[in-house]
Amino acid sequence: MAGELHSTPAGALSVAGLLEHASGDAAPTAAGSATGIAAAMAASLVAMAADRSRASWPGAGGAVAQAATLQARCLELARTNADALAEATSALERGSDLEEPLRRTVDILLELGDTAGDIGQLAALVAEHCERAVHADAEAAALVAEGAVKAIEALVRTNLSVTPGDERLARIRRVREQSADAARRASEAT
Amino acid sequence: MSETRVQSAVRADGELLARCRAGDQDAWTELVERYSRYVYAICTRGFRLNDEDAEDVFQDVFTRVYTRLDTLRDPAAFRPWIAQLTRRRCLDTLSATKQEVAAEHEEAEESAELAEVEEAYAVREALATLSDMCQDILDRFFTRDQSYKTIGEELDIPSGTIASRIARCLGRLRSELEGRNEPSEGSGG
Repeated sequence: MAGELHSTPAGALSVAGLLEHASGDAAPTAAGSATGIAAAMAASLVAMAADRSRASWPGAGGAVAQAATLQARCLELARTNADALAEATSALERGSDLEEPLRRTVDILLELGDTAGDIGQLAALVAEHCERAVHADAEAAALVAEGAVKAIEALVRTNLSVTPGDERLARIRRVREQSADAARRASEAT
Repeated sequence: MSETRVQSAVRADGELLARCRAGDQDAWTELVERYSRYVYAICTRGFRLNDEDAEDVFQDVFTRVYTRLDTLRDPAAFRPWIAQLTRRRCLDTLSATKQEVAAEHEEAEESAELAEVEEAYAVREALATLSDMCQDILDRFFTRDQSYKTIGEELDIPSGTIASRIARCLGRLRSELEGRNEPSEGSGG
C-alpha cells in the first residue's frame, strides 16, 4: 500500500482500489495510512450530519468547515505516513540510519492521532446539536474516530523507537481517553 | 440604526484619504499598508506577473494614487479605483514586455483569479472585524493546522470547547461577509 499510496494524490483511489492496495503484497501495508483513511471517512460523516442540520443549528456551517479541514489533514497524513514507512522499511533493510525514519513515522502517527481525536470531539459536538435523523451518523463517526485513535496507539506502542515509559505513548493515551469520552458523549446525546 | 461594518470600513477609508490629502505622512503609510497586499495579489495572482514586474506596477500604482488623491471624492470608490488602476498597469506591463495579453480562455482564468483575490481580500477584511480571540483561534486551526489540544493548551481554554468556539467564530465571520454582500442603503431605486 505504501508504495502505491505515496505516489497517488490523496483521494484519487477508488474504495476497491484502496482495499486492493491495502491487502496486496507488492509494498508493505501502512496500517497508519489505512487508519488515517478511516478517520477521514469519519470526518466526512461528521460533515454530512452537520450539513443536514443547517436548518436547526446555527453552528452547522462551522462544523462542516472544520470537518472538511480535518478530513483533508487525515488524507495528507495518510500519504506522508506511507512515505515515512517506505523510508523506514528501506532503512531497516539497509540496517543503518534507522533512528530518524522511525522517529518520523511516530511523529506522523501522533499527528494523525491528534487529528482523529479532533474528529471525535467534533463528532460529539455535532451529535449534541444535529437533527435526529443523522444522529446515528455522528455517533458512528465518533466511534470510528475512537477506533482510529486506538489503532494509532497500538502502532506507536509497537514502533521500535518507542520505549515503555515514553512520553509519546502517554500523549496518545491521553488522546485515546478523550476520544472515548467524546464517543460516550456522542452516544448519550439525543 | 447603527453603522454597518461596511459603512465603518468606508468611513475609515474616507478619514484616511482626508488625512492623506492634508499631507499626513502617517496616514499615507497606513493607506499603503492597508492596500499593499491587495494590489500585489492582483499583480501576482490575477496577472501572474513576476516579482520584479509586480514591484514596478506596485510602485507606479501608489505613485498615481498619491498624485491623484484630490480627484477622488467618494471614499467608497477607492478600492474599485485602485483595483482598476492596478489592472490597467498590469495589462500595460504585459504588452510592454511583449508577453501575450490573455487569450479568451486565459481571460476567463484571469477573471476567476481576480475574483479569488477579491474574495480573499473580503475575508481578510471581515476577519479583522472579529474579536482578537476569534481571529487567533481561526488562524491557529485553519492556517497553522493546530489541533484542538494544542489550541486549548496555548490559549488556556478547555480543548473540549474549541470545536464549538471555532463554529461560533465562523458563524460571526459568515454574518460579517453576508453583511458586506448586501446592497448598501440608498443604492437602489
